[in-house]
Amino acid sequence: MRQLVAEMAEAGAPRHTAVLLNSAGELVARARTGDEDAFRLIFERYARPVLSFIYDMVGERCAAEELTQETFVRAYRSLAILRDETKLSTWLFGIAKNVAREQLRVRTRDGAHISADEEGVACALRDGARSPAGQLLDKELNGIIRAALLKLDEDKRIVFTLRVLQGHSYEEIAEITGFSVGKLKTDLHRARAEMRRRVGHYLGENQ
Amino acid sequence: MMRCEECLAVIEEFFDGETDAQTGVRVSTHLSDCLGCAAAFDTLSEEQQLFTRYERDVEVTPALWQAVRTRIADEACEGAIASEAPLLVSLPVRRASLVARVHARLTNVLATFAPRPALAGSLALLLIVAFVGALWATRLRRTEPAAEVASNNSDTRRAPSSAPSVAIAPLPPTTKDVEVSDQSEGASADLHMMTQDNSAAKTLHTSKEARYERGVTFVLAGEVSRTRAAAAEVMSIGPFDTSVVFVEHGSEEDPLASIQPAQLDRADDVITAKAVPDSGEGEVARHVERAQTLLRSFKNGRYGEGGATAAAVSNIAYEKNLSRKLLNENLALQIEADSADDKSARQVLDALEPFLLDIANLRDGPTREEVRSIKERMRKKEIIAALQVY
Repeated sequence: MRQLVAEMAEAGAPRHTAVLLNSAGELVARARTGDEDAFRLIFERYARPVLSFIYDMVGERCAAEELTQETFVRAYRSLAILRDETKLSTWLFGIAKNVAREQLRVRTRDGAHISADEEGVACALRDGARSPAGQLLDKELNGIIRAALLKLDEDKRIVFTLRVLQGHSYEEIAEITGFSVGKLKTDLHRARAEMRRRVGHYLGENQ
Repeated sequence: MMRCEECLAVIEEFFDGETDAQTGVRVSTHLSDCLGCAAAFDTLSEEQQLFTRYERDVEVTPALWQAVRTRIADEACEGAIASEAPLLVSLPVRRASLVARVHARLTNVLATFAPRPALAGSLALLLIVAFVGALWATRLRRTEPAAEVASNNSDTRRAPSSAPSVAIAPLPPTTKDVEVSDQSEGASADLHMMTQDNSAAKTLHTSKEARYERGVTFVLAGEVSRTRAAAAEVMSIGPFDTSVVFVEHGSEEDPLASIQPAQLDRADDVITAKAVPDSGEGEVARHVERAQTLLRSFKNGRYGEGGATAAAVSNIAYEKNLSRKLLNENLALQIEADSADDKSARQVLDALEPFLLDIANLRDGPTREEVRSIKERMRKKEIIAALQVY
């Protein structure tokens, strides 16, 4: 281990070394005492997956960044009551899920609605116009997948995102969402079918 | 030999690596023999590859961390999260912030009275009356035995007084009824639970502060747990329409209880005493965890399906009993959360209460419909998820 750490330090990756050397439990314990570095490491470790998850839920970059902020601020406030430090990841995703859902409810209440198709296609065209020809298909695909995701209902979107895009196990998804494994299997199956219908024609083209 | 329908029913689980070993082997064997199912598996693989290529238009930037850090520091300075977590700001900053806030509030209060001499005069008169009253009460108490206070109510309970005890003055009978009706049954099964409202808890708190000033051994860190214990005692007494006497003991479990008041003269010591992690939040967390276990157990239980068989009645009796216990605890913690101004705890306890009431008031042999309606509400309100996140 020491050798690995030394090699990484030589390779100029001190930050990653720090991440490797700290378990979630240790980081939480240190953060609870007000150790800013520990909380920063937690942020660095989980910010990207949390941001991606929220982005998949709300479909807007700015909103996703703000909600990620909110997630980590709430997590910091509640660190003291996190009982099982080894489940820091699922706990954070649970907070992120709630934060994203609140935002979606506010939007629904205010009548604001993301037009998935328009936004997805607009994004694809905008990105495509700036992109080299070779990247056009990927850019377009990103827009189409994003638009298809936003058309799923909330429960299905959460489950699909957590399983297919984030790679969480069923058990972890159940912990994050509070759904039963039966429900999440059903939602996941339906979400896959819907996504297949919307992006299926890309399967052959993107090989 | 596995059939195609069986295989397709579990093929996604198999693809996700969520089947048990035996099923995995059976699916795998079937896939090697069946072109149709193998094609379905290939489609899943291709889709996964496609989604793996999905790139989001987001990036974690240093600015994002700075924004998080700034918000935490801002909230810390405002004192919004002072009771919930350690702060990312140094102690001197926090003290300076506290002093600034106290100063600002005092200034506001004084500014309120400046243009209203009549109001200020009335307040001064009230203060004088309160001071004289307190003086009189102090003198009266000195003449009474220190350990016991006689009660004029037969329902009043007293805890054993082995340790030096301090009696708190009878509380005003501020009670409220929590009425629970089982509408689905048609018959009204009312559960009257007499509990104290916040003012009672505040009175208790004030009384303790007054005694602290007189030199009785109390420290701030013990306040929360004591208030809770006292509130729990109130609820265990049951209906009371007259005064109740609380008997407080020198707590053995509270290591700070032995600290003499002289040690707490300085404000710094008081802050230190308060900063000792009390079990208030921990209590709520444990309570929430137990409630979560109960709700999960209820959610997964099959009640009302076998009619009122002995086993079904026995099962639901356990859930009901546990629910009643948790309900009592919930009420006590709600009072405590109010007195500690812990809004998040209050929120989760409020959300939990109706479900505990529903389960506690189920009949011994509930119908499937009665159970289903509770489960349905649990699902809609996402109560288990809310408890989990808390």
